[in-house]
Amino acid sequence: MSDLYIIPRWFFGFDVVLELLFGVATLAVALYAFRIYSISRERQCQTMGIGFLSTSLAYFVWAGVSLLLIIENSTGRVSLEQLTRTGLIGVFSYVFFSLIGLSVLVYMTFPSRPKRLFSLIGTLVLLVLIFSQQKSLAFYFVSAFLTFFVLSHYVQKYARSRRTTTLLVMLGFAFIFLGMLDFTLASVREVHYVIGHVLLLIGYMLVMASLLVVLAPLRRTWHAKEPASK
Amino acid sequence: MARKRTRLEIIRDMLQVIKDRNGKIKPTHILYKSNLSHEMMSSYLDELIGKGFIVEHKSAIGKRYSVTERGMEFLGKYHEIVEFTEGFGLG
Repeated sequence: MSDLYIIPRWFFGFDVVLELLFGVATLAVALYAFRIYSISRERQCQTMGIGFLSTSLAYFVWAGVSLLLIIENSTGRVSLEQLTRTGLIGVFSYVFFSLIGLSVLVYMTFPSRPKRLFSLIGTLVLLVLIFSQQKSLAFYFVSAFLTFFVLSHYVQKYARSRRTTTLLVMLGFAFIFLGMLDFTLASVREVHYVIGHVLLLIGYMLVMASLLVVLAPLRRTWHAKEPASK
Repeated sequence: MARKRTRLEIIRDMLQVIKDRNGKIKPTHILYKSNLSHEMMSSYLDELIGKGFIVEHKSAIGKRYSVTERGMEFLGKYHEIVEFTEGFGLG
């Protein structure tokens, strides 16, 4: 029996809150990307929105699974054999939406984006998972690899533009990458489950900060347009 | 030497050119004002029509272009679009 991950008992509940935060952060980016797409009709914005939306869904599902483990009074050692049917559906849904989200974000980074490219990325990713013996390790390594690909895109973009927003997104994905790597050890030592969550939290807060920097000048414009109270 | 314009800058410049002579601008005027080759201009015009930013008016005296409400919204929110797309590494 191989564990997916080991949760320290004291961390029960905190993981749910953090996963919900990840879901909210990625949902915020997705919604804003869709807003920009609705104005500009730039396909890349729509693609980014879909990627972040799928990732957001994955985190909300993961939070649901974590809550289910608390309700079922789990020992903390989570494995596919021990999960109930609902838990299994949750875990597989989380894996599916997470990988789709990351695959879409990788696809978004290519300058030319034929549909066959996305099919190639998605199929390769799913094949690796289906045929691997250690599915949780495969999932985290594949996720880390895909995240690293997105990170390298932002490194190149930042090197060219030197924008604060791009720097924040780049650093965000760096922490998300480290978090994914750390999760590969979460089935061995419980502390890595906590560290992974903390790294993801820093990562997504940096991405949110980038969104706030984008919105800041707009808020100043909105306040300037407000009529005087007297 | 002036740097090359980005795609969004070209779209903004073309919309601005058309907006300044709304409903009256001919393709040749767009060509002169937008600083593009004929092929590029045609490609961008097709894109702008496809996105609903401009409409083409065909008449006996030839084609004319005007900016739609959606095109005006793009112009009005251009900075917001650029801040997000460039900040998040798109384009």
